[in-house]
Amino acid sequence: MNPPSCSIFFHNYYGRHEDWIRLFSQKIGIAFTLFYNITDDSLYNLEDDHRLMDRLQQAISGPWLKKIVLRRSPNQGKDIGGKLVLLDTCLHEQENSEYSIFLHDKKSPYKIQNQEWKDKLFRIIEPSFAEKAMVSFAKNKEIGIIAGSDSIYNEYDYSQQAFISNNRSQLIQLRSGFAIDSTDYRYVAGTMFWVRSLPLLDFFRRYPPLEIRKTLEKGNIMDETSGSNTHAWERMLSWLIFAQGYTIKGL
Amino acid sequence: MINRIFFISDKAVLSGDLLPPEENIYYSILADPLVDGSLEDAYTLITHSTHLSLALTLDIRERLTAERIRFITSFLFIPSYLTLEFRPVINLKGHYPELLREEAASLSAYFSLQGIPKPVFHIITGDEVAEGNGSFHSGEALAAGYTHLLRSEPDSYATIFFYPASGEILRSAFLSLQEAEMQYRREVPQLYSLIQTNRRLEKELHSLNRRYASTYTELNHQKQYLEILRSDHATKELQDYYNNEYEILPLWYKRFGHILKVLTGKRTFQSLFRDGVKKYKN
Repeated sequence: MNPPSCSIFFHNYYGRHEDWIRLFSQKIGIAFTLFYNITDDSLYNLEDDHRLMDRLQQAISGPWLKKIVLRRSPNQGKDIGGKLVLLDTCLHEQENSEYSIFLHDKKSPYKIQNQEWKDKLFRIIEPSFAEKAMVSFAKNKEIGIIAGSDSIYNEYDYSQQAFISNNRSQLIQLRSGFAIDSTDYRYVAGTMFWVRSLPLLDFFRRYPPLEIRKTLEKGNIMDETSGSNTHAWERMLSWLIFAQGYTIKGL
Repeated sequence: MINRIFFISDKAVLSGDLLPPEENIYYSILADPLVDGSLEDAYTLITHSTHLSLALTLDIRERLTAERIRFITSFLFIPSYLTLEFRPVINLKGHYPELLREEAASLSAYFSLQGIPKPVFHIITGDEVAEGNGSFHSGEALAAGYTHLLRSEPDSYATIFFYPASGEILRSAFLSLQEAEMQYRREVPQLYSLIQTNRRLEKELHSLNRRYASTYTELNHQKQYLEILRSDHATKELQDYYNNEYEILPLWYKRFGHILKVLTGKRTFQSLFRDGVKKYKN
């Protein structure tokens, strides 16, 4: 049996690329391909592509990082839009890995405890977390997603049978449009989690990532006052796995 | 070069040794969306091109399917895909100008849905020189066409397309172009120098415009964040608490409070009189 491997889908808005690649090289202890998307209209990412690519190739270190597949995209759908570009790339590259990890350079300047929130989310790439995640995946074939237990949310009010969320109308529409009929309404807030690659890529072979991306809002969309497709897809990325008979585990 | 030259060829030529990087010399891979594997080969070549930007030249004979349009869009996310003035470049080649224009519109509409505005489309319909542009298949015709363009429209960008069948033909064509340009430079040195300066300044202008747009956007983001922080949020609760519990107290009471801090050892005595000293003991 081959040792497990994973694909990391990382979306970057705030630059500091070498630091991120170094971090992944240090933390991840299984063979991995890094799909790395850069928001190209971000003030933090105005560097010339070729010089950047040279530098990033030089930043590759450690025994586990197999390759970096770099992409650039405009700021549409925030990190979700970037991750969809990377999923599209992954399908073209025909990359086969057992697990996938979604990450982005999370900063929420409008939240008071943004650093604590970021630390919580990035706990999933700590070696101890990764080890537990792979043991859990191996033991229980029904687990499709593993995330930090404190980032698993549920906005569904079972007594009212309604979503308590600014995104409720988008959620209802998307669930119906993509035939999501699972009654597990939990999702990973912050969109950083481990997921089995098989159901993930199966879904996106049926529903091309760019077709979804075109429906996402442009720019720095937020759901503090009204809903958005972008934030609804934050929930959908978990639910599309549940719709294929899998469940979620928090660690 | 003071004009833009596109060398359009297949994977075999573009995978070989090309010319050293040269201003306004661009490379483009020819792909036929109707041929299985053609776009896939082009995608692989551009993905793995780390030192050279490449554009797509699409041979268009009939309408592009939705799937092909999507695939072509995927190219634009590759960092080594060619952009001019930060706009992706696509060459559309074929015999039917109307069809080419329709396909340019379809592609443009889909790119816009993906947040990619204003792509640069070059419509290439034949060998004749039209609207300052020309496409050539032989080195001799290229050199003659380029000389003609330099003399007819020296102050605006002309775009030339050439189809080298081998790396050798490509290099020889490049030498002919260089020779034509050197000749022109000898004839009108001042004009040539002004054109070069103009090109450099145009480039700088585009770069500064991009920086300006990104800075403006980022400032708006920061304003948005501040509005959220100041609105119905936990920070507002903190601010209200501070206002109600402390800010409304009289000034003499606040000052007495600072003296009390010194007496209870929580604040340094010097900090009552000077700003540049350590204020709190913990």
